[in-house]
Amino acid sequence: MSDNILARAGKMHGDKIECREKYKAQLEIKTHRDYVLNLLTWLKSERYVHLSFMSCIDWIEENEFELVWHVFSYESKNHILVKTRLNREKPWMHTAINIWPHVQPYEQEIHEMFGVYFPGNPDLSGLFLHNWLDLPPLRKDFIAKDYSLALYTTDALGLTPPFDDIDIVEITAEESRDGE
Amino acid sequence: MNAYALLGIKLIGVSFGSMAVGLLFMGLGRKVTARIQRRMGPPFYQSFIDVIKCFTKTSITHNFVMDLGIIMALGGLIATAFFIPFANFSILGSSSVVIVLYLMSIGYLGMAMGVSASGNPNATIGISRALALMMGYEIPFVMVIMAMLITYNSSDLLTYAVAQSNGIGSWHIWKYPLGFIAVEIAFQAMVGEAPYDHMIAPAEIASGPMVELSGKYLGIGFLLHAVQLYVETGLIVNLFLGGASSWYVMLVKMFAVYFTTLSINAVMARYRIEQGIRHLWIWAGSFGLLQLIYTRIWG
Amino acid sequence: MYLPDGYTTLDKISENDDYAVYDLFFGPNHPGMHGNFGYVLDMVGTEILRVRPNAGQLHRGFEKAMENKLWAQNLSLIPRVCVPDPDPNEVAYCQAVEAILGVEIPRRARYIRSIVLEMSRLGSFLMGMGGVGGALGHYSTMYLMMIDRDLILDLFEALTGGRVYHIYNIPGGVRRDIPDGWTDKLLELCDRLESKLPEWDRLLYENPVVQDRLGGLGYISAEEAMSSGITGPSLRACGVKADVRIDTPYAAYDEIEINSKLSEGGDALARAVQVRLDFEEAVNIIRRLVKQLPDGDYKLDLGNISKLRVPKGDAYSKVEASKGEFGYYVVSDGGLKPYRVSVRGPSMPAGMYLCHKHLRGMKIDDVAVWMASFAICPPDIDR
Repeated sequence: MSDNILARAGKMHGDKIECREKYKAQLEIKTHRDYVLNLLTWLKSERYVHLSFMSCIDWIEENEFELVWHVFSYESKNHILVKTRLNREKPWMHTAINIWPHVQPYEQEIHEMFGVYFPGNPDLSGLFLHNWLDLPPLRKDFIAKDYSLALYTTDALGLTPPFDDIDIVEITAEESRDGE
Repeated sequence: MNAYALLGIKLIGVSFGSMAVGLLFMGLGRKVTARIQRRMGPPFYQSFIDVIKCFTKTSITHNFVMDLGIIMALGGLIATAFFIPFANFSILGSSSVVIVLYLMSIGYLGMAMGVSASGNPNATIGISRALALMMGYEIPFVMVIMAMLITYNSSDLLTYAVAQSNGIGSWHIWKYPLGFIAVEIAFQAMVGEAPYDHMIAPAEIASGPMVELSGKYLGIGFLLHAVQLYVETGLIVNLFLGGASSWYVMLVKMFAVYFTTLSINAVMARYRIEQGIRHLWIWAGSFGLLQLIYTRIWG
Repeated sequence: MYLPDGYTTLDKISENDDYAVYDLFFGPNHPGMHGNFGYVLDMVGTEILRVRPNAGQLHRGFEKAMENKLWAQNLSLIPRVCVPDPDPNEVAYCQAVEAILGVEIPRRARYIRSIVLEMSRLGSFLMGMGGVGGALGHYSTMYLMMIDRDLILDLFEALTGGRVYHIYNIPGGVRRDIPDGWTDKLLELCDRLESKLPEWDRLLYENPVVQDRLGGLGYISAEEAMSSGITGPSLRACGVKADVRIDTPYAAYDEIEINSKLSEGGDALARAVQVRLDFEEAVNIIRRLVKQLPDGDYKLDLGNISKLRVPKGDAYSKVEASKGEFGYYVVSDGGLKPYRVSVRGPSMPAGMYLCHKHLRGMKIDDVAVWMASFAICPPDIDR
């Protein structure tokens, strides 16, 4: 904490934030959703120029999403986790691309995996998943095993042993070359 | 025997002989490259096995134009092979270098027609780069040929080869040194080896024209490269290294030219296409131009 | 996607000629692509107009899978997040778990972790330099470097049992001790690698064709690199002295001297040279570590590692991998399994954001070289 950032933060932002020192050179600041961008802009001006990445955690018992921004300063070597909580029913958050443009793919991924909406982000289309029709998969109420059983077993397809109702068609070698 | 039947046998012999020589060079070349890179490498007959394997696999063709283009390419190159004197022995009686240069481009054009018909943009980019590079290497090459035309008043390769048959001292490599340097640089581009291997370029355009060839078409692609090797090394040997009086000396000289090419290939990276053409025109072209001017003025 | 505003001649061509623009899949199935990742390129001629990253072919759902496995079972998934350089992942995860537990691992374990990290860095650098050579058509470099990487993998097999994925670090230390005679073989390997450096210099770095190709490619300034999330050798090549081993020391790096040299320039040639300088320094670091290797325990006794219960809390730990900063943010709710593991991969800023700015207007020849110079490796984009 060589630059006393938490003391300065307390003086600047008063009671809008809640600071804590977790480990050596790792600090945590919690705030409300509408104040996050002010805080991030102030941190960037305080030489915390490196945004490592952005995470999201699903606290299903408390009915909340938690978003975490990880910022780092090359001068004071402190790592700060900026945290905020969102309502789980309709989660949305202001986009941070005007502060750090490279946060756009991270927000795109969180939108796809958790369903958090970021108005202002130019592209929130799907990134990793293909033809996905189910819940956003990293949420806690999406059970991967049930999804697998529902989609990829013979029970799900309505087939029971001894599988007499499947038509197995044999294609001869000549027929397979017909298309050439 | 009927003269035509004899001619037919000779032509068939040269067709298959050029393919065999080319495949043998390719196989030995892979061994040479592997030893430079400190690994064992495949056996020297590997290219024969590859071609036979390719012809036994199923092929995919898109339309009639693709078939026609590939066959035209192979046909054009084999036709060129008929005009290269092999061990001072010319099959069709004439072996004009002008005809050789003219027919060699049919190979590229046929390939261009064939793979463009497949519709894959990688193939189209690859072949357009190859044709652009052809523009780059033809110019220095033609300048050196013109220098020889001025000296001998004849465009016959056999004349050039016979004129060098008074022992090593009479080879053109000493008489036209600048021309030889120009042709060596242009030769890297003709054969498609680094720093001018733009036609294949696996990391950039997914092997260019070869990306859409499968089965027998890929086999024909290999054979195209083999015949191209035979034609081009034969050309260099006849132009600069004195032809040959027996077939084994000819083969050894042709392989020596290919060996130099492979050694340069092993230590060089690849230029960008516009850098490549510029370097060919500036360096090979200036040497060729100097040779032409020198020959014209001082003969 | 986020595109900067601009109106070039390529746009004019594409607006006036209906057939000028075509799609090229620099795709998952391509000899020049390092992994299952793709860029869909809109092109005019051989110039690139627009880029759409096509990620997700290598998505294995690791972050979801890690929530269903015990703390120690996750170690079999974690090395697979980064293929050429798997050890930083294990170390980062173990360090995060140890931070939440509040334990300090023994000194010998820290030294062994550092040795394994440096060896993995050497292996990954060899593959990276070979990758730059392969993308340029310089296959000799690729083959020669793979020979030396094989020797490093042999040493790993003697130590951990696995060549590529080691699963050697566990929360609390490492799994087994160094066998006898292993450090002597390691020092011999260091001597051999150092003797190879002049040959690679002559072959790759002083090659005029390579310098022509790499000079000026993908230039990025220091300020822009720092605020775009670029880390590691790519950032040091812009002249910024940033190294996680020095800034926030972990494992045994606070007791070892590290002289990091910077190559200025900010373009692909400076990044390639930076990799070579880091390589030389890593060999020296291994020698210093082996000389100062202390005796003692190689792991803490945390009981049955399969029944490890981590108290409630969260921690972020990062290590310096060969590609940049690898970070693991681990959240625990006091149970036998992690609540959330979030991975920070170093290839995402360059692969997903910088591609829009740099690839626009570039020729198709340079895409593979650009990717190799930024060390973009798709497994840690997709996880």
